[in-house]
Amino acid sequence: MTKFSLLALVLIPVLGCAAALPHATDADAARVNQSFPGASVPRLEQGRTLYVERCAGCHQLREPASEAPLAWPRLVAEMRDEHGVHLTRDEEQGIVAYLVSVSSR
Amino acid sequence: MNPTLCLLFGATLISLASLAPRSAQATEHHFGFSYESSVLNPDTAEIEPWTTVRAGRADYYSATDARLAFAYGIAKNLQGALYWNFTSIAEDVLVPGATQKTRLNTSDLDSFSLDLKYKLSDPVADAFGSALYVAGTLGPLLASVEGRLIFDKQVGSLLLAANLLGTGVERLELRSNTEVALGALASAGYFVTPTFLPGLEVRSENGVSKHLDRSVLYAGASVSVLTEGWWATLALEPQITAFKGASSGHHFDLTKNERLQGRLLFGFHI
Repeated sequence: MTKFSLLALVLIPVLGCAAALPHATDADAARVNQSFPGASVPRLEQGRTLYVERCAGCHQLREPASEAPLAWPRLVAEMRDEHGVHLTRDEEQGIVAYLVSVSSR
Repeated sequence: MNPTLCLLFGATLISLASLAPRSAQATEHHFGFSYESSVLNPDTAEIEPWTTVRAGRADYYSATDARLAFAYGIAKNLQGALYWNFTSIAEDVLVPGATQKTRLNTSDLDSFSLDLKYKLSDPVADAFGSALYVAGTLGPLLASVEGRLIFDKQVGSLLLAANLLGTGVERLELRSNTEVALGALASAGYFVTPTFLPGLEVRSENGVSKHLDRSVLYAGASVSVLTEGWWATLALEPQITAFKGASSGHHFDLTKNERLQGRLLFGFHI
């Protein structure tokens, strides 16, 4: 038991230091401003929040960098069309803008 | 069902399912015994049949624990499940007054359970995923409560999970003291494809009364597949050693634990 307590004590901080879903930066907003006019850090962060709230309940979140930036609009549209995810146009745009911006780093 | 056949059936299904397209759901169990932090969305449900086989004690012993669970997303980040537990045991016992051991077969619907899991953080969105889990079980012969602290993390294709758990069991027919068990589990898996995750799992099970009475270590492999409408996981874990409570002539505990434990889990989205 002692060995496993030690293992847990080691493992938990290691997990804790691992990367979380990236937050949007000014550079991210500037990079996608042409494709998503009006993109700003607060709007991209809003997209991040929506991504977590609307997607994590049904499936494990995918890291943005796991797909090419250009793939994300199609993937989000597939979730809407084929899996019945209800997203308003603004919500979908917000999620896509966030995913495209941080996956283009 | 024969435990070996049951596991072979599961392995075949899992092999076939690994060819199917993926649609990940939030409540897949990627490991046989470790739990993860994900919960069902509100108003979504799943049926989860589980089968655990335990075999190999000092005398002949083969047990199959079957569980049929109905899991439901109660609210945001909160999931509950109701399940029925069936147990079938074949074992050699020495009946009082007899000179030879007799093989005894018993099968029971032994209890009902209710569990709740509350997700505190997400394994991808946050630094690590975490959840609190509590389960209560009641049957004619036993009453138990289990609590778990669940941690997990997905980094790229690597999935890690760790659980700390405590269980209290009251054997009602024996009017005995509560048996307390403490455990720790650690698992790691790798998404070879988005539909297929082989993994390794290590778990420590410890029985405590006034002192630590027994402490055993199990370790083994698991495979998990995800399909459009269901998921399946198969785990096989032999006992590696007994730190405490080893049977005489062995470095295993073959009195209260088994040489091999395996679990086959399915989840069907409804």
